[in-house]
Amino acid sequence: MTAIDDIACRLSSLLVTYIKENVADKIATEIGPDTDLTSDLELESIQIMEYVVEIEDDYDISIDLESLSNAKTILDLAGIVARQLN
Amino acid sequence: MHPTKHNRTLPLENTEFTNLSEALEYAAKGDSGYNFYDGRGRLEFVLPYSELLVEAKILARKLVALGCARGSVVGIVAETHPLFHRFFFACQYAGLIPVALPAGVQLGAHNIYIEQIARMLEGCNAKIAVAPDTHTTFLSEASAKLDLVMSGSSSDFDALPYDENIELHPFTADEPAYLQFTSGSTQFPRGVEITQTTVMSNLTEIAIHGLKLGRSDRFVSWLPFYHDMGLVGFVLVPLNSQLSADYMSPRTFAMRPRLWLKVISDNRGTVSSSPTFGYALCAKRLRPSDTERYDLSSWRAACVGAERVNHETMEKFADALSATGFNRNAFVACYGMAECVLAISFAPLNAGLSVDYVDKHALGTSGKAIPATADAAPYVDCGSILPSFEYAIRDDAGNDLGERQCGRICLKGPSVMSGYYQNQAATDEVLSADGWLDTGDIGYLIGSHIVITARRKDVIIINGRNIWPQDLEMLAENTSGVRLGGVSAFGVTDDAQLEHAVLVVETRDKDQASRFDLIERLAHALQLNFGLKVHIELTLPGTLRRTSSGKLSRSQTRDGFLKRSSVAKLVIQQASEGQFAERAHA
Repeated sequence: MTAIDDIACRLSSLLVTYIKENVADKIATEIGPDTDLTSDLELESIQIMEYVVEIEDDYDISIDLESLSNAKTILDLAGIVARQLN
Repeated sequence: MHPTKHNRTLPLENTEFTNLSEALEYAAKGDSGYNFYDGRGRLEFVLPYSELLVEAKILARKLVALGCARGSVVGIVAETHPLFHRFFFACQYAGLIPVALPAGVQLGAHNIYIEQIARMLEGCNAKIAVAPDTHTTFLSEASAKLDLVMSGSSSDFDALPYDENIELHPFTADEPAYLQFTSGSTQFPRGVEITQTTVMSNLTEIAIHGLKLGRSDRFVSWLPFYHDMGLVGFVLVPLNSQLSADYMSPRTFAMRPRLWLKVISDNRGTVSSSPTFGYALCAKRLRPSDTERYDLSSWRAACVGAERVNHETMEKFADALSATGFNRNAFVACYGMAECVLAISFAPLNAGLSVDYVDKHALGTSGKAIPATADAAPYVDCGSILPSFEYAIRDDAGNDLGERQCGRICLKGPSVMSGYYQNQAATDEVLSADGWLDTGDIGYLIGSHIVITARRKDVIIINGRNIWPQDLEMLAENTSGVRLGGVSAFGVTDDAQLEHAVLVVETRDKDQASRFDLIERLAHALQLNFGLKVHIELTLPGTLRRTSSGKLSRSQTRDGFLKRSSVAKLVIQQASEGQFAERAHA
C-alpha cells in the first residue's frame, strides 16, 4: 500500500463514522477511494464541510480552497492530505 | 496582537455624515476598527479605522492612476479578509463603484465558480477586479476572457506606481456608494445600485431606531461580505457608529460554529446576526462542556432575518445556551433586503421573539391572518417598519389592503435603491415612477408591525441563501434528456418550517433505469452547482401548469405537486433524508 492508499483508507473510515453520527444510521453506498463526495452520497455542502473539518482535525492540517475546488473523490482528498503531510 | 478596543475616546456620531468617506474620516479619529479571526479562532489581522483611512487613500491614488472613468466598477472577491475593506473604501475615494463577488467555492466546483465570477464581472461591466491570494487563481481564469483594465492580487495593486500628488475626489451624496448583487441568480445577476445618500439613510436608521447603538456596542459576524447583512450590517453600520467589529469567515463558521460564540464571549460582543439556520447549526454542534466556557451575557441584540424566522429553532438555541448567560430576550427579528440597503423593520429590543398564531385555513384561502389557537400557523412579528419608510400592503391589482390582510409589501423612502444597475427593464418591474418599490414579499400588518408570510415571489430560500428557480431550471434544461421549458423549480415548506427545493421535470421516458439515470445526473449537477439537495420528480409532459399567456406558473405547478404528493410531509421527509421518492419505490 502506498501512503495515499493508507490515507484514502483512513478518510473512508472517517466518512463512514461521520455519516453514521450525523446523517443516517445506515449507509446506502459502499464507501471507498472512488466514492464521489459530490454525487454518490447526496451530502449537502455544509455536511461536506463538516467532514473536511474532521479530516483537518484528524491530520492537524489546513486544506486550501483551491485544492478543494478540484477534489471530488476520497482519493482526491487523500492526495491533498498527502501533499500537506510531506 | 490584540483586537481593536471598544470605542472609549470618540463621541458617538452617526447622523451627520453625507457619505461613506466622511464616516470613515471621523471613525479614524478613534481607536476602534475591524478584526479578523482565522479558521481556528486565532486573531489574524487587525485593521483600525485609522489605518484603513491611510491605506484606502494610498490605494485610491493607485486606482485613479489606472485611468478608468469615474463610476467604473471594481469587482472584489469578498473573502473575509482586510483586502475587502481596503478596496471597498479605496473605491469611495477614487470615485469607483465597488461590488462584492462571492467567495464561497463548493467541493469539486472549480469551473462552475469561475463561470459565476466571470458572468458577474461581465454583467456589471467591471473594469478592475481583485482577489485575496486564496482566490487569485480563480480570478485570473475568470478574467482571462474579459476586457479588464486590471485584474490581480492585492500585491499586484500594491506594486502599482504611487503618485501622492493625485487629488482624490470621494463620491458625494448623489453619487453611487456600491453595487450589490441580489444574493441570487447566477444566470441573470442583477446589481442593486445604492447611492451615498441612500446608504447613509439606512445606516442612521439602523443605528438610531433599529439597534439604538451606544459606545459600548461591539459587532461580531461570520456573514459573507457579498450579502447585504454582512456588508451593510457588519462593515458599514459599525463604521458609521465608530464601533469595533470582529469577523470570521462563513467557511470557518460552517466548519467550527462554536468559534462564533467564543469570539462573542472573549470580546464582549453585543450585536451579532444570522439567519435561523446559523443558530440551528450552532446549537447542533454545541457540547455541554462549551457552555461552561462561554459568557454570552453581553450579547444584547441577536438579530435573525434573511429567511422566515423559525421561533422553535431559536428557542432551542436559547435553551442550549442558558448556562452561558445568553438572554432569549436578545433575539431581534428583522426584515430587510438589498433593494432597501439592508433594513426595513426591527422587532423591539430586549423583548425576544413575538409569535403571531393565525388560522391556517383562512390564511391559505382568503389571505386573512385571523388570530387562532387551534390548527394555527406561527409567524414571527418582524417589528415596526423604520420611520423613514412609507409602506402599504397591496393586492395584485394595486389596491391597499387593511390590517391582518396578506398582500405584497410595498415601500417608499430614502433607503430605497435607485434601481438595478444598467437594467431599466428589471428596475421598471419593481420600482414605480413615483418611487414605490414592490418588494414581491408577502406579509400583513398588525398596527405598524410587519409579519412576513412568504419571501420574494418564487425565490427559494435555503439556509439563508436565495436560490432563484430560473437557475435550477436552466441547469436542468442543459441536462440531456430534459426538454427546454419542461422543468419547473419551486420551494416547499415542511412542518418544521424548513424550505426544500423541488424540481418537477417532464419526460416521456418509461425505462426505469434511464429515469434513475436522469435523476442521478440532475441531482449531481444541482449538488455541484448549488450545493443543494433537491427533490426531483419526473412527470408526464403536460403536468406543468402554464398561465393564460403560456408562461410556466411555478406556483400552480407547486400546488399540483403538493396535491399529487397527497402526504406532502412524507415526500419532503424523503427528500431531506436523501431518498428520492422514485428511488424508494424501486
